[in-house]
Amino acid sequence: MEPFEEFVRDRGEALFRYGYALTGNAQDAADLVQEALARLGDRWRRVDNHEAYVRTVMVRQHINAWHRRRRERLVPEVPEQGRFDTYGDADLWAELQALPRKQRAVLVLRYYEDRSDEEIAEMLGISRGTVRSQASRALDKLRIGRVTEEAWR
Amino acid sequence: MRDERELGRVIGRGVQTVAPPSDLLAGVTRRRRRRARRQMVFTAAAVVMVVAGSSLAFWREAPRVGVQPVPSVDQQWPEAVVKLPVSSADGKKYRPVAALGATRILVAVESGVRRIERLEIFDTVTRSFRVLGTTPQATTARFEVGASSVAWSGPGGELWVMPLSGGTARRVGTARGEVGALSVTPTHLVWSHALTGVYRVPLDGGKTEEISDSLRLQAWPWAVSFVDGNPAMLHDLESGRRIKIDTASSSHVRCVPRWCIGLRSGALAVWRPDGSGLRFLAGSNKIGDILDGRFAISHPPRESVVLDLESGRTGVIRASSDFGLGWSYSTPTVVYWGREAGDQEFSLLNLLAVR
Repeated sequence: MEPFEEFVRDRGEALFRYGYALTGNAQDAADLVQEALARLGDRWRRVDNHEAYVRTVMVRQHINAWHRRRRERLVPEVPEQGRFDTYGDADLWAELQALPRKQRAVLVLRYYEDRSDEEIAEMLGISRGTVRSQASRALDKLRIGRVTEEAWR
Repeated sequence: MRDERELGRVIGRGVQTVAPPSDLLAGVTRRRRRRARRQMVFTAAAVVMVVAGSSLAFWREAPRVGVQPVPSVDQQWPEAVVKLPVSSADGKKYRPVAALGATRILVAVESGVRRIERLEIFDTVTRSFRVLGTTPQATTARFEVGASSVAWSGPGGELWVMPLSGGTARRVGTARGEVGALSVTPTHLVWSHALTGVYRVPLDGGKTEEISDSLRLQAWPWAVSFVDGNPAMLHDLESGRRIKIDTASSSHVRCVPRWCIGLRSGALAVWRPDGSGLRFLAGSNKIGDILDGRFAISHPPRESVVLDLESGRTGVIRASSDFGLGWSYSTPTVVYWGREAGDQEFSLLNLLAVR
């Protein structure tokens, strides 16, 4: 098996879940990850950090309006396999899906991927100040208190 | 107030609710071929530069979020799940009606198709039955339990009560036809038909009176008013208190005083009548119920999920055979399932026993 194929086999699932965190939709997540992996495959030898490359391509492609092929969903979706209320978190998940793409992406990178604002700024190609303001707006919309933010950042 | 730490946890669990496509590599290969054919040039140079930069070289694995297995109702509430015999000593089928407390279940004994012969009480500690009394004209499948008596209606609207201590059933009045909602207060039977109009008759018998022509009884003291067929307001018939119902972008809404259930944006959801506390319920079926005024349940097929709206605890019922809710007019207090052909027992969740 080629190294690229091996990479897809080993990392595909985790990358798909990351795509699902960004998009909130399985079909869009599959599109996003497959498109980014196809790009990686074409540049395999020229890329140093394959996983970082794919993740960066995915998040940029997702928030970049030029690449939007699907309609923007106006209503929050519930997860397809619907195990959610088992955790009582469906409402927060649904509200996350209703956020603008860039704000949601910042939250996913910061709280799910556990990245610093500096890393997020590099990934998205925006300033650190923009990362902070996007995160702050998103947290306000979700009515989330900053109990840990000051200590963290 | 939520805090930031919830976010990572919610996203981590959210992403575990979907299965990745099984043909990911095939999809990637197809796309690469298509790309090669189109000879499209992607300018990912900026991306490559970022990736080549130092900070991302130290790639950190996303934190692994453990997926907790969804507990079954017996695991979540072992104190509340009991086994009941399928049929009585004389070979007739038991149908759970309602819980009378943490250890007592009211059951109906079926003697034919939708014909109820008598009521019995099952003691879950001693696992024994006690006959309460025979139930004349009880052809409908529903009963309503009050503080000291149980009531039902006959096919022509005949209204009956029987003391919960046991004894002979008494007929206390006649409704205009089939009863759709029935409550037992300390002094009266109160009911509605399929449409608006709330009526009552004293438990000792007497004159029937209409107490509202514009509302429909929900469960005493609560009644509902409608606008364009949708519930609009909950009315407390004792105190006069009113609660406006938020039905924004919802359909098929039903409300008990503290919770509403219905379809919101096409998905099964539960929320407070004022619109707060919105949660979506799992399951492929878009039918659900509020139980005991405090739990929500989504119906089978596949699985049925019971959610305690106060504690957030959940349990799953995976058996879908012969799934049913207690045969009461007001919010059901028992769920039963798993009566397969040949089985001697079935399972029952008593929500009054949940601690």
